[in-house]
Amino acid sequence: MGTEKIYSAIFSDDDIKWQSIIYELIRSKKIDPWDIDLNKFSQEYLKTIENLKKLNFRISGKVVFAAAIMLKIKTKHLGLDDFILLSDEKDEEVLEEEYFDDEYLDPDEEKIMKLSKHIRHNTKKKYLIKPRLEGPRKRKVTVVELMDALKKAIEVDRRREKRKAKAKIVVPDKIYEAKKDLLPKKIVEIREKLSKLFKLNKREKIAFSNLLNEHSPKERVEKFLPILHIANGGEIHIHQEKPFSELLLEVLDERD
Amino acid sequence: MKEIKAKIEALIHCKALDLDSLSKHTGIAKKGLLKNLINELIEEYKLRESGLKIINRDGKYKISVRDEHVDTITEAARPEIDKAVLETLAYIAHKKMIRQADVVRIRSNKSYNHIKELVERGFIESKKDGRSKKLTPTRKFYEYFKLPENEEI
Repeated sequence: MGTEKIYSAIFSDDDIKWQSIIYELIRSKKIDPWDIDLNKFSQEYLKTIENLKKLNFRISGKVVFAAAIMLKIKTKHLGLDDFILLSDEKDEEVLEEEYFDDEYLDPDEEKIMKLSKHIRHNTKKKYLIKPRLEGPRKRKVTVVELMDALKKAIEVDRRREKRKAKAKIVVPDKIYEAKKDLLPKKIVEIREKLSKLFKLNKREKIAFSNLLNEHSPKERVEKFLPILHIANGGEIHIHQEKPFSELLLEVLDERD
Repeated sequence: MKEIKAKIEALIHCKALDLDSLSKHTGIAKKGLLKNLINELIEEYKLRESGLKIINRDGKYKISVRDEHVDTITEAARPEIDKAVLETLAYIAHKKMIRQADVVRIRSNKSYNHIKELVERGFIESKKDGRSKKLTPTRKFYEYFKLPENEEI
């Protein structure tokens, strides 16, 4: 029986006799209790809970208990019980006694615990975890390493200074100022060209590309900037059907 | 006594511990006794010309590699100061006295954490200086790297 079948057997049974199912499966050696994916088990449980029409806390209690027992068995078996706080204080027998003190417990659970002990005993060697090796110890830093680190730090310092000096060469404000002086002249030129084209075009919208000669990015920017100024002055309207499509210019004063 | 000595050895192998901590971990209240046992251990390490030694740094005892073997273990063991932190330390030591703001400007925002770690470990001293702080290497820094205090690096 595959893992999928086990999950469906546990979660689809109306009576949810999960204890007997697991017990039977383990006894008939159809499942390896060490290969039960507890994460998947919990996910399946959550799905089942979501599908239930009314709350039944006995079911959730039983499944949580089942997951806890399996996790406990696995942990003990793998020798990871140091990580369980309770294990430091109470031994396994005491814990098991506490489980069985619960008045709602099924007698099947006792069988499972006994069986888990038996399996644990038989397969202990297979899953034995060796104590973790100590990690590499840290050593003192040498003067040579300190000097190397200094060289690197100074190098970074110099690189930063160089980058700063490079950045100082380009002064975008000054370039902008120089171009700004040429702008009024350009605006007049473009306004005249637009007016001319508008008449030629029988008062239809003019494509921005009609203003271009070289179609270079530089020319586009040079001619687009005056267009923005003219549009801002309310002399023209700029239309665009969709982003990156042709810009259509409509001369307002001429039409009115 | 042998057993207590072995316990002390195991403890200071794990981490640098002062007499209070050693007393707590071994259950031996008499600190004089603990100190005597540590001194015996130090002598034993010396006598058998071990590659290790027991050092006392700021009242904390620790097992460390003998200086003459530091080069041998360079590749095998990680340095106790991270590379980036060491670069920041080297830069501060090179300047002898520098404003924290200048270190951060040169070594990026990450150096705030480096400075914090270096101050905590006692390699640099941080004193308030207006809105920033003045950083200087400490005596511990010079002792650690076996450099004379006026040494230019």
